[in-house]
Amino acid sequence: MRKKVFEKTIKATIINIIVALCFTGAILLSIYLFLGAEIDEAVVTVSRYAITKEKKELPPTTISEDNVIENYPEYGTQYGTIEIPRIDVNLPLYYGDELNLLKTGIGQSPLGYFPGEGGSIILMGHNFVNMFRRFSELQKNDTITLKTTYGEYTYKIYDMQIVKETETDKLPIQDDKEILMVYTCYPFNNIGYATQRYVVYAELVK
Amino acid sequence: MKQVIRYILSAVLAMALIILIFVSIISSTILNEKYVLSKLDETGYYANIYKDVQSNFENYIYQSGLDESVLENIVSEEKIKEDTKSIISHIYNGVGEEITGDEIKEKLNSNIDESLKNVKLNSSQKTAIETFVNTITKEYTNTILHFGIEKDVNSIYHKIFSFVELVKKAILVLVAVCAIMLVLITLKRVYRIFTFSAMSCLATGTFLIVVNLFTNAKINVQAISILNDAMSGTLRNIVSEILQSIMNYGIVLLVVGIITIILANLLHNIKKYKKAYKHSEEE
Repeated sequence: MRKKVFEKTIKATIINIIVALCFTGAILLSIYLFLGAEIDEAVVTVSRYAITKEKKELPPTTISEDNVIENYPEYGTQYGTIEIPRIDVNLPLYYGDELNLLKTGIGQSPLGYFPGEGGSIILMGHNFVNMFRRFSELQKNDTITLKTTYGEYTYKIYDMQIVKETETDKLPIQDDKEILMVYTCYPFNNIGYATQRYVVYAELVK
Repeated sequence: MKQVIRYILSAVLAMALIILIFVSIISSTILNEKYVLSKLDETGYYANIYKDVQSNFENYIYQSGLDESVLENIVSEEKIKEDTKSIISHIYNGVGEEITGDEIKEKLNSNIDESLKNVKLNSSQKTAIETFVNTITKEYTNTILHFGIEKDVNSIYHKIFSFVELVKKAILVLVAVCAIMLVLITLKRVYRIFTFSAMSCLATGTFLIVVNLFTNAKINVQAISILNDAMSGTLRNIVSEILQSIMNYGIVLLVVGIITIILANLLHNIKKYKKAYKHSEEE
């Protein structure tokens, strides 16, 4: 009798479990049929905010003979240094113009070109000590050297200007001439929020 | 016919239980002001926002020509906590103090006056300082408020809250009706009440476990990043806890369902065979 009770119980239990799983399947199927597209959309939306922080090794940046850059540096990373012998500047060069990058080095605007590409390059830095505080000492024909991970570029200064913060036309992006524009806040001994910029223009010589 | 009705009732009960569990989890977590405040505390939200605020201030001080000391004591973690609570209160209750940044402006102006007490400022420098103070104040309110849409969120919140409460009541009624009907049509075979209820529990439990596994497979919750580290950390914590609650409910219902099914069937079969044995002995 015990065996029979056991067998019957097992059989009934399995049937009940299968029926319950069928309920689950039916509920899941109905949800998929009625809300499948919405669920997929929600997953895609949420996944956009689920950024994996694992850093992948990026291939090195290279430049071809016809000035085409392959594998651009990642935004927010240092990809070189800037050297201005006249004012003893030798600072890290970052791709990006966010304020946190400018705390430790010189930023490159993503609006312009990269050194060697043949177009205008816009660089910026703070005017405090150890950065561009001595910017006013720069003279025409002084050199600025950008040492990047893919090459070294030297520019010769040919002009300096003081412009208003809003005069963006004074920093024109040219596609066919490699002009380096480096600016900092002006006046150098400014107190408060600076609304002017001291811009140095240089052209590629090497 | 009765058997079909029992299966239908059991399936409806399972769906009702699923909705009830989801609604309960939502109303006790993201729709609960106290829960959200406790999560902000637990995940170090205020401390992280304080760090962000300080770092953003530093970005401006470097270009201002002012001494870093002017930023001292203009904002504290306590002030951030107070302002965040006001924002949360705006979202959940529609009331709370406006975040203006006036206090910060006042303290910053006082620090700058102290720092430049021996400097004679011309009008353009005064204007530059005023712009600097306004920029810093705006930076603070932007970091704290994130979107500045707490009033809009408040009206949405009230709609969601009312809807959730309504759904909760409706589902409770539905569960009660299903349970009563199941009892009524199974009155002579009590074990079946347990079996069918257990099947509902088992179906609900399995569904919840599947939802949890699906979500974890599709979304990397621990990598969710939104606005800043403070907000991301808190959000990740809340989402993980909701998913964990779903899993916990799922496991409990699954185990309860299986045990109840086994016990109900076992007791029924023992009773049945005892009765048959007694009957054969009498014969």
